[in-house]
Amino acid sequence: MSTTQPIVKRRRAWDQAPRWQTHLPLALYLLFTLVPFYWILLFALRPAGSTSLVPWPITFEHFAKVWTERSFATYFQNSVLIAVATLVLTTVVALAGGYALARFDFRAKKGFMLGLLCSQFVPGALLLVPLFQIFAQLQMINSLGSVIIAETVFQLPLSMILISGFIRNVPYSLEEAAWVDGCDRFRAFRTVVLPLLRPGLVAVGSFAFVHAWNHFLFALMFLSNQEKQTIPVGLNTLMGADSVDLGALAAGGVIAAVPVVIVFAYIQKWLITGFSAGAVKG
Amino acid sequence: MAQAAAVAESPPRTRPRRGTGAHPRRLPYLLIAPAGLLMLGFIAYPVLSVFWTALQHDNPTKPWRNGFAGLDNFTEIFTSDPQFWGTLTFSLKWVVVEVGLQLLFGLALALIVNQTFAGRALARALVFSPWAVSGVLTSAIWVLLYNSQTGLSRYLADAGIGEYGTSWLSDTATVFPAAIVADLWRGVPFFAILILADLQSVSKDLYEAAEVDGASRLRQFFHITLPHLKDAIVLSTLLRAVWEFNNVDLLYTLTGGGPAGETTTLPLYIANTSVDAHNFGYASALTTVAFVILLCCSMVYLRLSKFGGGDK
Repeated sequence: MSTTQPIVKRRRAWDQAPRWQTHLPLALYLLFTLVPFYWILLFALRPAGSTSLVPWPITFEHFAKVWTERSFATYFQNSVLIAVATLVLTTVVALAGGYALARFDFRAKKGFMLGLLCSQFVPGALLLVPLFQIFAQLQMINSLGSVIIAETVFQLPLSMILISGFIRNVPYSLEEAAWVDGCDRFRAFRTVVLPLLRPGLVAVGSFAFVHAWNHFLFALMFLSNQEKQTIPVGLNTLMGADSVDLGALAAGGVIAAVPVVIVFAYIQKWLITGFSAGAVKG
Repeated sequence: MAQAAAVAESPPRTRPRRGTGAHPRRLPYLLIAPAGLLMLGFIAYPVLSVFWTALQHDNPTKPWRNGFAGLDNFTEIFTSDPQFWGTLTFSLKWVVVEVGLQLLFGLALALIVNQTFAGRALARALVFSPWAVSGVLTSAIWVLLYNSQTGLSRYLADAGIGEYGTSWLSDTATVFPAAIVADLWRGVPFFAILILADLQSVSKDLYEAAEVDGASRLRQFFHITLPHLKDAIVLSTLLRAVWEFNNVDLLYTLTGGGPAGETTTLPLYIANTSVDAHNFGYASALTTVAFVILLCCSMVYLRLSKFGGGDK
């Protein structure tokens, strides 16, 4: 037995299955993932009435139609506003709350944590009626604000739990050292803790953005004015039409997918490190 | 000068010398106040109002009956509402099948993309991408795929499989698997991402030790990987089950609960009762029942799985 043997062995050790055992299922799964994406691109890019399996001749008529005639330009703008506002609001509020949970012992803490956990079981979909009544009283029906608040509220509990976990992973002594150097608590937090939280905040923020971008029910219920509606509501309208215009539906779907796919491509690496940074373990 | 003073005073460790203006004892309350107020106003208050409305007859289409109802709504649910039992059964079936399959495929997928191979980063990005796709968009995509005229069935029929004009979503025999597959498409990546994240933290020494002891890859999986993943699996299945139970986007837009009410979940039934039929009292009672069922199932699940057993 030579000393090099462990190194040779490592290539076939636990983390390395035989090639085909990785490649074959991966290829099959990729097929399952990608065919639907291809399908929607195909319908969006090929002329109406074509049954070709390649989008050729390529056409952008469906996009033009959906963008202007079906008001997707307006929907897009509304969806961006809602998603960005939800991202900012959720991150800021959850950061403040998460810091308190991570760094202080206070009397209401246990009750507050319990409230956070319980709220995970409260389905937003089932609170539509009372929420509608509340927003009606606040005169916020048909204002994007109602959807922003509703999305933020239902994102908050999980975001706060995640962020407090990330903060706990930053040693308190770092902050204390900054105080000794003359920083006040806020400045110590900003200059010492915040930079270390970046991957976690990106994960939480992107959750909030994607969720708000995708969510359908609140916008459907609280925004009846067509000028205020969002992309998912627009898609639902296209699907519900008497004779579904498949080309327009596909083009609308591609428009709906673009921002989240970009965000996702950007954050997906951080998503995994963000989670393993103690999020799941709490 | 300020620095010299700071060093000279050398504050006790537990208390910052200068706060943000607030007394340190009040600071945590100040920090949780925005979140607390938002959740009180827009979660706690609506929940309480649902509980209260559940005890009322509240139906604008039958105003003469409105008023305190006691437990009437609940009696009606449990004794004379076949739709409640039907939709509840379907909801449970939906949740169990979806979460079970998502976990199975998600675990497999995580293990696969945890291997090292060329193009791994791209493969991960691609297989995880449906995670970011909305329920409505998923519906739109699968409506295109399941379409009877120009969907997959046409091309399968071209190849001699099945018949032309097959519409999987409007046939009671095929609508369940069809909807399940559509939801799997975007649900599997959720598990895969969480499990992959947790796989990163398994100590490689354990595997090397097991390797030295001659344990097979299968035994390593069952004795090292799976126990390590347990807490993550318990937590993610629970979160997902609650989410799948409550989520209405996909079925609402894909099947609308049809054909013939075949795919109506309890939340869809509640939404129809309140939004379409305006029977707010009864819908609130149904919501209360759904809430209690979820809470009980979750507690039992956490107890049975001995979540977090070991530490704390």
